[in-house]
Amino acid sequence: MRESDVLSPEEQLSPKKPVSLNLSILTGARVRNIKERFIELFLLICAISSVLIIFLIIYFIFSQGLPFLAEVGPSFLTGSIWRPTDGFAAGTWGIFPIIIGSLLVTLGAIGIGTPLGVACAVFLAELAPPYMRRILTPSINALAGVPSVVYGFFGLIVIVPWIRDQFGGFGASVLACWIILAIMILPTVISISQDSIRAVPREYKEGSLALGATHWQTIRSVLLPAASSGIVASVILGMGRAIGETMAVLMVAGNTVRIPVSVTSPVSTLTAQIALEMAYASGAHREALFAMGIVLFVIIMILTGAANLALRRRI
Amino acid sequence: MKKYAPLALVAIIVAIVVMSAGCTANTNQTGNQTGTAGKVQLAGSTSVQPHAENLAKAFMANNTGVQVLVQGGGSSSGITAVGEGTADIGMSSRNITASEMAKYPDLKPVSICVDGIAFIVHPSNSVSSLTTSQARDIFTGNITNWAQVGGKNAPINVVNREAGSGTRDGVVSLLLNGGNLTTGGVTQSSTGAVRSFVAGDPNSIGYISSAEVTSIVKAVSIDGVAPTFDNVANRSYKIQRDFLLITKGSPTGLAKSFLDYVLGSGGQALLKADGEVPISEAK
Repeated sequence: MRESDVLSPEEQLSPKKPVSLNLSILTGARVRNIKERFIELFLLICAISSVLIIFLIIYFIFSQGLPFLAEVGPSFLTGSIWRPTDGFAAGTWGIFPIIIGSLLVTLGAIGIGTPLGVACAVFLAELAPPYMRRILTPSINALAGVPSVVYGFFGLIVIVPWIRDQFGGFGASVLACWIILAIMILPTVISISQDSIRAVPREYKEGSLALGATHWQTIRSVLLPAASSGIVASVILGMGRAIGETMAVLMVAGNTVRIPVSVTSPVSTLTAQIALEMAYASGAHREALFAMGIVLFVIIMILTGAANLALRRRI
Repeated sequence: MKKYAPLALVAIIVAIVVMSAGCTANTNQTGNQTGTAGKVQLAGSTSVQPHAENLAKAFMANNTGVQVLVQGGGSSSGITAVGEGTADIGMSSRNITASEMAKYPDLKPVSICVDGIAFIVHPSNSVSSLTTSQARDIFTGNITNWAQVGGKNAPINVVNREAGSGTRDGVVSLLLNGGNLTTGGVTQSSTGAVRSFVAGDPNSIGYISSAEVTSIVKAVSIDGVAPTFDNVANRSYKIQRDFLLITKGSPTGLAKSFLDYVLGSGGQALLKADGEVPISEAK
């Protein structure tokens, strides 16, 4: 309560009505004075601007890429040869291997990152002594703060040569992407899953233990199912990060436009291919990259939409 | 009002920072020549670009008041830019094609240096020499094992540059005669990245400008000719191209001053220091 909020005796007897623009229509709150009105207007503008920005981005990408898609047709999505500028077949646009590459890399990253992340979350929430939690939690948060180009550099210098020595091939491969992306989504999965497990009401756990279940049986059959919506949400966020990751993938994937035949084959993802070629692309090549952006956008919408749908049905 | 003081302070600091960012420091100490001021715009090949930037910096240090701006975009866009008049000088790492000559008949190219494209392998690779047709088959994907060219029994890992790279265009036109590069190789996005990759993979082969070869990789000879400075200069190393600066009509004004600098002793020495073969020393 500030001095300005307290009405003087005269104002209490004859209250002034608020003048002109009354935002209470939009906010539903009783507006007292100009300061508050301005603040509400400002917050409204902030909220609208974020919606505006996302629609502007969508509009821009679609306006640049849709004409190209309409011109080239479905062979853009099903063709396997990507030859934008040189060679006898210059101007061949087929991104099927790149789409497969993006999906493969994402699914593998989730496949590795989710069990590790959930296991770590369970450990931190249920089993770790406080001193271990004090060491592990900042370390995991630090993982989240590492820039993706540093991850890519680490992958290039450490992971790629290791894979090359162990399994042969280029080293830059699907496996390298899986490892790096799994590490990148770990902090997200761990922290959100941990919060979900902690948020399960104590009565569930106490009731289960009181009925004679062991700690692990309680975790497996009571806590994890109860926290499952939060865990799935964390996986969805991790998946969003994995499919959109550009710099790290660009450095360790090999960027070969062929459907990978094994985990040690090099691969190309939509994000890395766009980043690789965007700088010097012009004309049709540039429009093709925007079309790839549209495809990427649609894939992300489908994946996150499907995941959210699955999430809603479980509750 | 006291509670607004920190906010006002922050706003003032932000305003000062923003305004000072608009002021550029004039680091030019002495100006020997000129009295002229103006702008020269270069655009084109990304292979020529780093050299053009060095030349521009040296030229601007000697000529205060002149701004030389260099941008990339590729040889094709550079030729189009100078033809259309949006750039004063076009940079190209390839010759002007007949169709471009027909469209812009008054383009005048000037060779400033000769650049060889070296094919690099890991230093431990026993293969040190390839014939042109062997190199062509490797990069089109027809030869896939080092044993087929005299090395050990291991698959050949091809390292490419990205589409739009001047070096890649050079390989496609000079070695493959416009043919298709194999899609089975990995793609790296810069000379340095290609060099690091080849230095780390014993079975790889890649291509970079001969000026950029360092001791961490080994350059193979093509048809018995190694990509050394002398072999590029006397034109015996065949996989090479002239770097061109192109003007619309004969060069005049500031563009002419810049070109004179590049072709003069100062510019040529700079190009040689960069590792290229200056045109004054080429046959």
